[in-house]
Amino acid sequence: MDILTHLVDGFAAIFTPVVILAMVAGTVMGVLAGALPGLSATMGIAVLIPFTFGMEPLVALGLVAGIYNGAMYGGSIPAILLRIPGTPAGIATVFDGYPMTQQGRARLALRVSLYSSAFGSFVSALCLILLSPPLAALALKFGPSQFFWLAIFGMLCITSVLGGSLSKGLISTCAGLLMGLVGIDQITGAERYTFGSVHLVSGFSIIVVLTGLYAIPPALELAEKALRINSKDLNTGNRADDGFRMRSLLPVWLRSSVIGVIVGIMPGAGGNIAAVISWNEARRRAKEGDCYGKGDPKGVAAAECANNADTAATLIPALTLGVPGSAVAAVIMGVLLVHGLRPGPALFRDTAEITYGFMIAMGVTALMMIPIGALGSRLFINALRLPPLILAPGIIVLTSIGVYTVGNSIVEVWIMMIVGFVGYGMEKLEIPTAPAVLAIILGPMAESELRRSLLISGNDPTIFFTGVVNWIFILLIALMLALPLIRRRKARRAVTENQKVDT
Amino acid sequence: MSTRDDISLTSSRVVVAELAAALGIAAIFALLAWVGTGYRGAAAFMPIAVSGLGCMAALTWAAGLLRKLPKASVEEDVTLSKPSLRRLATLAALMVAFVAAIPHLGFFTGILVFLTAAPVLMGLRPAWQAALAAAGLAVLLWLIFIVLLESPMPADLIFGG
Repeated sequence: MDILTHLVDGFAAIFTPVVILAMVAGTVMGVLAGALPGLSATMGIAVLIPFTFGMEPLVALGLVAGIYNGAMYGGSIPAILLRIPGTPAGIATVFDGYPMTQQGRARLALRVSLYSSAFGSFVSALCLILLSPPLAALALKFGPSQFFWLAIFGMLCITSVLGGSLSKGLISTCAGLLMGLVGIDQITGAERYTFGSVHLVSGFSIIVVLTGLYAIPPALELAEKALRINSKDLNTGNRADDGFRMRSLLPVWLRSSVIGVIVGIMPGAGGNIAAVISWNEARRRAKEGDCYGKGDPKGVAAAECANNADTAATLIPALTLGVPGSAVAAVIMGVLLVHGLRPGPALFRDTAEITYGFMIAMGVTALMMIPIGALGSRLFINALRLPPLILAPGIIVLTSIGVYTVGNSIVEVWIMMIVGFVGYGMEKLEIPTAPAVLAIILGPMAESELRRSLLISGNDPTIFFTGVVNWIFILLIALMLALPLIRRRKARRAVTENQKVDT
Repeated sequence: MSTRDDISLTSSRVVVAELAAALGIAAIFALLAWVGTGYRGAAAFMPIAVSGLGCMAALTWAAGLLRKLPKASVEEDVTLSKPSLRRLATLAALMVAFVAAIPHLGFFTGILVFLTAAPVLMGLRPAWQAALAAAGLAVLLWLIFIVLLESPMPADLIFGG
């Protein structure tokens, strides 16, 4: 009954003119950010964080929900028209979307993508609303030792699931942990890594770090690549929708939504993985007459529905446990923190109206995408003409003024810029930035829970090895550590087998 | 195939550059671990443990690169585009100049100059597009932050305040 009451309160809170306006504006901005190659939902939200500082929490979160859902759909526009995924999650949309454009059926492809995205996002929001409250209630029973292991698990998950080199993932995690240590230690009162600077006594602001890490590198990348789009490439074709029935996509949508939600809940896996798995699954179940990879609307539906079904599901561990499973979830956690909301089980107890309101906003913006996408399609397609050489310095300007207004300090703008340059360097060296962001958020949590556990147990470390939940986390951590080794062994075996076949 | 506008690098050079980066990162972590030893009691535990782990991870990366080095090709197979690098360097330098100029010019005059100069110096033509975008964004941000939100901003050369 509590949940129902909170849902009703949440509905009442978001259906106010300001929040509705924020959701509409967020969805438009999100589709634009997703449509522009090189920009993403993470970047869009990172640029927005400082601007939301003075807003009511639900207005800010309505904007965030719109941007997140909208960007996932927006990424499909250049994927379909130009064979360039606007966001990484749009990769599988290219497989059937671009061939449809070559056949003069771009308008149908865009419409299929829009409806599939809305369906996937809506199912994902429903799962968020249904799964989060019981999970949060369970997590409320956790003690400090369980939260310590949970924080360690969250950090390791993203480090090992992201793939690539474990050592690079660890470098990123350690860098984030050290950034989280800067300032006054909450328990002993000692100053750490401040080097005598008053600007560092209160530590790095999460807004400054997130904006620097996720907004500056894409701007530099835009300037580096300076991708110019030819106007004649933005042709949606003359062929009408050839009487295509959206209802025929329902089985694909249901299957892809399930895949997207499962992948979304798993830490480290993103919308791109969900889309590729879903497209492969759809192709595996192909019937006679289906032509996956050659311009089949079902291929576009499978990819777009799955990458959108990943969105709200990614927020389940972030909101309920305070453990973000992806970079975008970490950035959204940053928005919550900026507004004084501490992600974790207490969020559902202490600020239920805002939390439920945000979850409902994820569902409402999913539905809003349909009219906005249909009415604004020309605008979103024409946005691709925006010169990247104006866009790149424009992003720098927006982030600089946004960060300045949060603390009224030019030092914070300098810190954001330095963090941005470091982030760009990390991308070039293929050091993932997501573990660093997660570590900045989870590091202080791990340290305070470690010390709290030791205080409770009278410095007895066996507290960390008592109880079933602790052991489940320990086993999961061991599995996460073993994962890269297993993956490397598999890859080596595949290479050896290929060599055998060659000889 | 590389052109006159490209810089060709051998794989071995790329590996050497990465190795230098890995060792540099290891040195930074080692320095931070040493700083951490100066903290008293429980406050020192995390700094030393985390910096130490980071240093070990960077050294592991370096060791992997050292193993890769003899196998790396000496043929030129990595190309960097000179215009891309030029655009990147221009934007990075102008970003620094923009932030340094804010306390002297103010935000909005700074935006006007930066957003006009950066695209043009990076090669955007016609230049009026950049000037128009700069003027539009500067006025829009002035309306949001000064007129609407009344945010305290540094004194501005053109927009006043």
